[in-house]
Amino acid sequence: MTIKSLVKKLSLPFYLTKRIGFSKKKYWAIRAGGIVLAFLAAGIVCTCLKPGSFGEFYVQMFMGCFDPTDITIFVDLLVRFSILLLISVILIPPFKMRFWNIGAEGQILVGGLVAGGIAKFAPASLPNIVVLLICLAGAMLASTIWSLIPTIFKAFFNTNETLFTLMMNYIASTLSLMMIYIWVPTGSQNFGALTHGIFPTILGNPGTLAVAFTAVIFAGMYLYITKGKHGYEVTVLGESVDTARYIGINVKKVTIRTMATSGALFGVVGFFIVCAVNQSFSATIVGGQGFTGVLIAWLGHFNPLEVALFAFLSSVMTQGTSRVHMPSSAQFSAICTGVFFFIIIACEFFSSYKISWRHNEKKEASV
Amino acid sequence: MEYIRLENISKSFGEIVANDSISFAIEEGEVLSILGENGSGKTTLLNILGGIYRQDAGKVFIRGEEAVINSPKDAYDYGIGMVHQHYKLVEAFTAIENVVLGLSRKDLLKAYSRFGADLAAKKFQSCSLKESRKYVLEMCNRFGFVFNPDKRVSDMAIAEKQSLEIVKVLFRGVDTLILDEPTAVLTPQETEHLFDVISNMKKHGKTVIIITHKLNEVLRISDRVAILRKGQFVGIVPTDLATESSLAEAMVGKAVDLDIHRSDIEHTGPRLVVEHLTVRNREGRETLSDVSFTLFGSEILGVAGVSNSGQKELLEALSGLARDKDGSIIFHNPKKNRPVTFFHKNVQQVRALAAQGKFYFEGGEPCSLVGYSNKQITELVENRKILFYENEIIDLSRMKPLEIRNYGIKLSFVPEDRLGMGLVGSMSVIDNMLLRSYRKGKGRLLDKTKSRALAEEIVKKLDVKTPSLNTAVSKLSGGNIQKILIGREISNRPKIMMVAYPVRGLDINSTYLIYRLLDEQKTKGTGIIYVGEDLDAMIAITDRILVLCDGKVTGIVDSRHTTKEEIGLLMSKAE
Repeated sequence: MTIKSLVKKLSLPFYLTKRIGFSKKKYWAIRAGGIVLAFLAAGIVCTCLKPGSFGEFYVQMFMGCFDPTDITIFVDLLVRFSILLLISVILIPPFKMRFWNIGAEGQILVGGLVAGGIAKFAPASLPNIVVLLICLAGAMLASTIWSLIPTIFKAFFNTNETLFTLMMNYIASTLSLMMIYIWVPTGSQNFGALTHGIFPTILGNPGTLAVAFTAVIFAGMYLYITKGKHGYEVTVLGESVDTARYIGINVKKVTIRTMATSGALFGVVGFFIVCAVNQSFSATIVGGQGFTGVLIAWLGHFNPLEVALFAFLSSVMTQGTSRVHMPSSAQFSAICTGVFFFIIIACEFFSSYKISWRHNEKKEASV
Repeated sequence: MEYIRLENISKSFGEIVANDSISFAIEEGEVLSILGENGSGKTTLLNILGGIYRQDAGKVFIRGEEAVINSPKDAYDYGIGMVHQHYKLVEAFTAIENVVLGLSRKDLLKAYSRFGADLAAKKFQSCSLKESRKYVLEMCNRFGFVFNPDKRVSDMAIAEKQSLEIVKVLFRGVDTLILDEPTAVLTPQETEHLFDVISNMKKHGKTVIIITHKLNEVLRISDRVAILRKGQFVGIVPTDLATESSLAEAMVGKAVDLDIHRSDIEHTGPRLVVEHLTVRNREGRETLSDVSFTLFGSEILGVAGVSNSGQKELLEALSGLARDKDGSIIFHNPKKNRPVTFFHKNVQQVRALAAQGKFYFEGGEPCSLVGYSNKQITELVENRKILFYENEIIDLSRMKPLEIRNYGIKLSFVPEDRLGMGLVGSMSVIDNMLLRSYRKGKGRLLDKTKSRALAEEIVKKLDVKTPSLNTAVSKLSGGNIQKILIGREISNRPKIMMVAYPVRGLDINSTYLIYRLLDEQKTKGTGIIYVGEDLDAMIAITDRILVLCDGKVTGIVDSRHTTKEEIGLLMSKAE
């Protein structure tokens, strides 16, 4: 056997071709199929772990998100959805600019750390609203600085922003641990329940007000990205630096301005997470949502409405599966969410590439 | 004698049918041109023969037997070699190293015996670089190549690289040589030399296939011409029976007027005076050295030169994009006898200029504005009572693109890289109109009403074929993309317009439309700098031609009294 024929034998029985001119309808049909499949897969995982619970799973999942008898469950979902949506949408401008910021987790965390610190040590004599405003300002400032550090290095020394922002996450996490160690003498891993500088609890959830603010921020971001002059500059810059320079865009300025904006908004998210949703602070309080946001912004093709859809589906998946009666519901929920994203991403692949089997090709050739 | 036969060759990329059931035969020892407009499927077809692509359907027969060509290696085994438009050489290697790269001892021995080695006479044949050098030089003598085997590729001019690619392919013992647009990058003299080499190859029994869209070359060099149009085979004709217009008609599908109109009008005085312009790249190497010239209003100034002689750098420097430059770029804003405005001047600046005696009152008396209050000056300017004596003179050499724009200088630029610089491929026609004007309008949101109107106007006036105004421009054909770009750049009635390779890759109709548009701009008073590669067209449309060689100006000639040969000599005049 010659090497040539061996290579031919070993070659894969299929090859991939890029789909061109794929209609939008077909594309969404594949995506919808993927979403259905992803929810089915979660049911199958559940059945594997607890035989005979396939139907029951969906009922519990639905009730875990939309129970008509208990409004607080739906508010929980909205709060979860709001935070995830905010993170994903704030990531859109940097991503459109091809600035691969995967440091959302850390940028939010330092915002939360500062907000929590201020709330913890604010004198009790100050009115709650004043403390909240100081927390917000501090969080925005801290997150802006955290996102500007890699940006300035990128703008002036062309460092790789992906690695840089990623590393900043670990620094933020360790910094938080250190501050907890210094500020919490009991040796606890968190700040304990904050009593000052917190949002009021409405409809059984301290995050309800944050949901309302999220709606406003989302509307603003939607306009900024799709109709604004800044959003337009960001898109041009992301498509081609040469075009941006050609029309007189100051590349450094736009890069820094965009990252400063998204950094400040991440500060708001950190503030919401600490002062509203959790009313406490720990080093793991963001809980990986900064990374999930990256995934969702990407899956939504940087389109705010698509991003909202995926953020919602992901929230339903996470919350629904965590309320299913399972021995270890948190881990179970994580598995299901993972499977969900895995299948959706696989669908992305199949909607942009076509598989052709070599076997068929030979047949056609011999005909 | 029939040598290669293509039978019903089809190839599609997605929904685009590049080759639609093409059949014809190639004779042994002929020079065959494959003629067609861009996108007609010429390169795809020959890439199938060269083993780069595999046809979706159809068969290739070589000397009557079916040939299965799955890779360039297979093509070599059938004696077919291809020289691509973009050369594939190792820059750090010398010529001879590039030639033998990838050849086994067996291959080398075969090559030696082909070019005069008597392997039987020697017990052992060394395959050292020295030996290979001997036979490569022997081969070059045979075909009439000028070839320096020890020159590094990185030190080579583009024509030398092309020769090296051809030597590389010939040394591998091919009988059929495919050349993809070989003259696109050559000077007229280099083109002549290439044609001599091709004739020599023909004399030695080689078959040469040339992919081209240049009609005069087809007539000059080939025995027969095969014509493709939109992926389909139109016909094959002996060159003796063809004329430029008959070929153009076959290529386009209808009669086309191949005359380029040049309006003969007086120029309107200097528009842009460039003196001692030197530009350095990021590494600090000079890409333009001491360039001086004057561009007049109502003039088209051509810029000729082999590729990478500094054309791109010149245009980028003039538009404010070059970072590191010296020298002066003086813009003469045609303001003589026109009213002073506040468009890019404030009251203080008007007062200062008036003190220098630059203005006069409507009635004709000089205007120094001494003793006038700010309010009075504002009133006079707003009522257009103060006029300029002379054209306004502005130094652009320290300005960035946005500053030039904010200053109110109407300078348009159609860059070489249309989708990578002039337009954004993924954006719609409307959004691309916004590129120049998105800053206008109050507030933070975009105002698309004007750009929509402009898009509508351009699509209608220049006959742009697009499904809608919201279609991404990258989905349009090259000609339509260029029409959108030029349309936008013309729309603000520029004082200076710079165009780089404006007709490259365009179909014949769009090409002539663009020549007409440029001439029309000239008659409107615009000073146009035209960077191009087709010297015949450049001589026909421009008024003067500036020739660049290695970043230096080697001459400025009058287009009405020059020849291609004169320009060709200037293009390669190394000092």
